[in-house]
Amino acid sequence: MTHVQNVTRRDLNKRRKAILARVGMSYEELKAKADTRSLIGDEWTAWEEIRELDFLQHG
Amino acid sequence: MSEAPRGLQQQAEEFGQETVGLLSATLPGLPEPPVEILRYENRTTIGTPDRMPLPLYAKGQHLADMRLKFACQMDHAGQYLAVEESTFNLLAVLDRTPVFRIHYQRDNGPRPTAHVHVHAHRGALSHLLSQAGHDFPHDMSSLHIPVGGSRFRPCLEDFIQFLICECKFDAKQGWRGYVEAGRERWRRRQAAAVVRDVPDEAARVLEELGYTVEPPEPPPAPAVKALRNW
Repeated sequence: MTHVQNVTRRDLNKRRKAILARVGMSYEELKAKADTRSLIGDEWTAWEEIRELDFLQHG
Repeated sequence: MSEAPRGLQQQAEEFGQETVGLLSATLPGLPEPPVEILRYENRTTIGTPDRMPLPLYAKGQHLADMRLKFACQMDHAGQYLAVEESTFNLLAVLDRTPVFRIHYQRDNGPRPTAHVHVHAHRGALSHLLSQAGHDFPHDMSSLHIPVGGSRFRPCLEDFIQFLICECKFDAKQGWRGYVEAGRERWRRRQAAAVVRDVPDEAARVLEELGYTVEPPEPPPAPAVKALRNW
């Protein structure tokens, strides 16, 4: 059975930091690469994961 | 007495369980569990855990990964779990970059709500986009190829069958039955949504089939936004 993990704002911020650390960029740097369609390698998945956290936090 | 509407948590778990069931019955060698469900306030995401895409094998060789995510919240009436955005990605192991993406975003501004991105190169396409004044003429993936809008978009089962039948990735024995049953379930749900969009059309067709349909008073107005959006 797959259960819902109820996460806190702190959990989401921790995940966000870990994703950005993985690609060695700030949110703004990663977003700028996405906006100019210049994401490479793992940055693609990292940007999608960040956007999913944005959805959870802000809708 | 009518049943009380099930809450976000219960509907998210049911949806997650359906997704796990489909993946586990169709694709070999998946991690356990292949899907995680996160909830924050009234929103939830259902999909592959961070940093854990699902491996895809061809003749036993790990050649690609699949990543999927559904971003959901309750609909305006607070009754049903509604998908706000979904992503089905095929990523090459070679460069960890998408090859195909099927993306849905309910409110997507001027772009098609349901669309496919193809990450490939074609000189002739770049040339014509450049001549036409496109912002990213050399990036084929910048095109949002429309695929049916909110109601008639591809489902996860379509993506899985595409991976197995078109891309020739390995599949589990008996996969087709699970894909077809899941697709039927998806299309029945979408058909129900279309009936809610245009009940007058549904009543007309039912009467053609010999049913007697009594409209409520006042009859619900059609809501054609989802049928007009591309």
